[in-house]
Amino acid sequence: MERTANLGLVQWQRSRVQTRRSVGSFALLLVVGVLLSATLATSIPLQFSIVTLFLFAGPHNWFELRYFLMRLPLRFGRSRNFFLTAFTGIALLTIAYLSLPLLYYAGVWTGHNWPTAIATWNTLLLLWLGLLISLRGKQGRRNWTWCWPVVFALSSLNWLGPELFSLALVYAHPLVALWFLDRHLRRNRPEWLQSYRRCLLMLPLIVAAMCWRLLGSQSLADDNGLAWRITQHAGADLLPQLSTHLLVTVHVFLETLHYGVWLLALPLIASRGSIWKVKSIPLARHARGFPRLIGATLIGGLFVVALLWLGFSTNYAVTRDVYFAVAIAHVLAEAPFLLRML
Amino acid sequence: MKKFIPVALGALVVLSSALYTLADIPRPPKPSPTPAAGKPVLHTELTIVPDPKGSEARLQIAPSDLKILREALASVDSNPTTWERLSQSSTRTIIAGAFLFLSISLAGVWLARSDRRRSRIAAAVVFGVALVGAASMIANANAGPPGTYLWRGLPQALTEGKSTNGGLDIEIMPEGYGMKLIVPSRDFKKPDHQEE
Amino acid sequence: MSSSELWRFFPIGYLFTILIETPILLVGLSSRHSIKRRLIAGIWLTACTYPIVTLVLPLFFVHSSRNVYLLVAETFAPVAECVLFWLAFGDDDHLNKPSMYRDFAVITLANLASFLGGELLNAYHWFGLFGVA
Repeated sequence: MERTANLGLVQWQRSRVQTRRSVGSFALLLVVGVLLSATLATSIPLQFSIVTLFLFAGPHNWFELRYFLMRLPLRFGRSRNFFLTAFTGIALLTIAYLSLPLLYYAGVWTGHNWPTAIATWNTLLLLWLGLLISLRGKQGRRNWTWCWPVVFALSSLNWLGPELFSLALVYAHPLVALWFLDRHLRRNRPEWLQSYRRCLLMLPLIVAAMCWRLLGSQSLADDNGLAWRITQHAGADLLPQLSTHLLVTVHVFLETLHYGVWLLALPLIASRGSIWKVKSIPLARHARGFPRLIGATLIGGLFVVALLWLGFSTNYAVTRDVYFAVAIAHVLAEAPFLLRML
Repeated sequence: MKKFIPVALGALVVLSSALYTLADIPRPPKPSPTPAAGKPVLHTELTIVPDPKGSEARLQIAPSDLKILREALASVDSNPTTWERLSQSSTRTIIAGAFLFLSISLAGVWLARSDRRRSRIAAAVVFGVALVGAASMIANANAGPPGTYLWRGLPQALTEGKSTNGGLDIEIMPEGYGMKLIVPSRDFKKPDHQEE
Repeated sequence: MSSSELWRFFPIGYLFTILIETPILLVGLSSRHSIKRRLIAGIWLTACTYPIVTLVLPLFFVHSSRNVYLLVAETFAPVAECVLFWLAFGDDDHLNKPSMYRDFAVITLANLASFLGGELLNAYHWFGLFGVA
């Protein structure tokens, strides 16, 4: 009896040691990864931006696609209105977003009142998010109508400075992945959650250190088209008083964290089985599911990733422009799936 | 009460939208014995630097400021319609103000009708957004001392050969007006060497 | 006034307005409202309508006479504040009761007082603080 009891105790102690080791390894990986990204982003921002986009943009979108397919229910049921609103919003906002530069290049629109066009799109985005939050709240029988005062307050800020608001979204979007990771750790690895949140406290310190080091630094040379695009994307035009070295560094650092979450952290933590196994996706596995459609979608996605790499190799600047225009769809898609986690 | 709330909300929305119908009130014809007021298109900064060796006044503009000035001037129309007259940064201020009204109204009603725990969380969120909003307002308003305060030392500075820095509104005037720099002299301090 | 001047006026004018309206609401609102609620109403009601009165309407009526602007603004402010006050603190028990009408009258009186206070300061050009004609 005593040996049986000791066996149970020993197993429990071994499990505790293993948990502590895994927590420690996880935290170490996080810290090393974050510090490495910060160092590379600070020392070679332009080069790091080019390389990370080339290597990780397409694959991270593929992983996101797989993740979204994993989270889609077979039948919408009570979530019908939520998903209808989500997909309609993604489609319409993407079309609107793409139409502005298309109309401009086609000569149909002169680009006059560009800030008003941006402000209108941002407002539609905020209203769509507010609607999704309200619908999600109703599903969970929670009162989330507080989101509307926040939506209207953000809309007000947006109309004061539409381009700056859009720039804020560019910087905030990479952080959404960290929220996804937090929710999945809560579900799948609760023992890692505390370490993760403590490591998150590093981020504002690192960004503050970057600001302190680079605020007065010389701006990056953007005399070629690609460097100019990178600095503009980071907000060089809107924040001329800040060094573009600082802007690009912070932006590419946050983007690298975003890629790290989608390519490494979430597949390791949230994936049930090999990422290549289509049957691990409920929508494909179910008797009334769509295994061929899901399989074709994933394979098609791989082709698009390969095409993207080809495009980057052939003409990096143009491919970059096309990618960031079309990629708005994946940014929008993150919203409903994150809400589903809450 | 349950019926009253939707009716009252509807009245609020109608009130808000009714503002737009009043934009078409015809303006009474105005005689203008005095020169027409200018229309401000840009607010920026100006430094007046006395130059003891120069023979001609010069206006020096940085490329970034010239770009901002060009964009502001590009939006000026010589014969704007009612909507075009409003469709510069006034449009954005109007819409921002309308959203601010909706935000504060809904936040207050929600807080008043919610339980305490939710009220505290929501109050924290609303406070955070209000803080950011206040910062934006201050940034947008170029908040600081009024122009009369900043320009009050100009006579003394000119006497001493020093620079003076203050806010500048660039206004578009009627044809034939030429170019003038008007500095608020209401609070001018007399230079030290001048006697009463 | 330009947009930026209106924004600059906004916080100062708001503080001035609540300094006038809050004491009136503190004293005048019906007894069913606690002191805390009256204080909150003083700060919140003006915060709701002030963006419309100070930012939206002046730009809308920039080419109309000041009287038209004042008529619209000073009608909108008390009406909207009464509606919002009822939405936040009203209930079926007090609908159409004397307390409801008293509250609405006090809110209207507070708005009138702040309007008159503003006109008085305008007469003195806000003591040079703003370029108000």
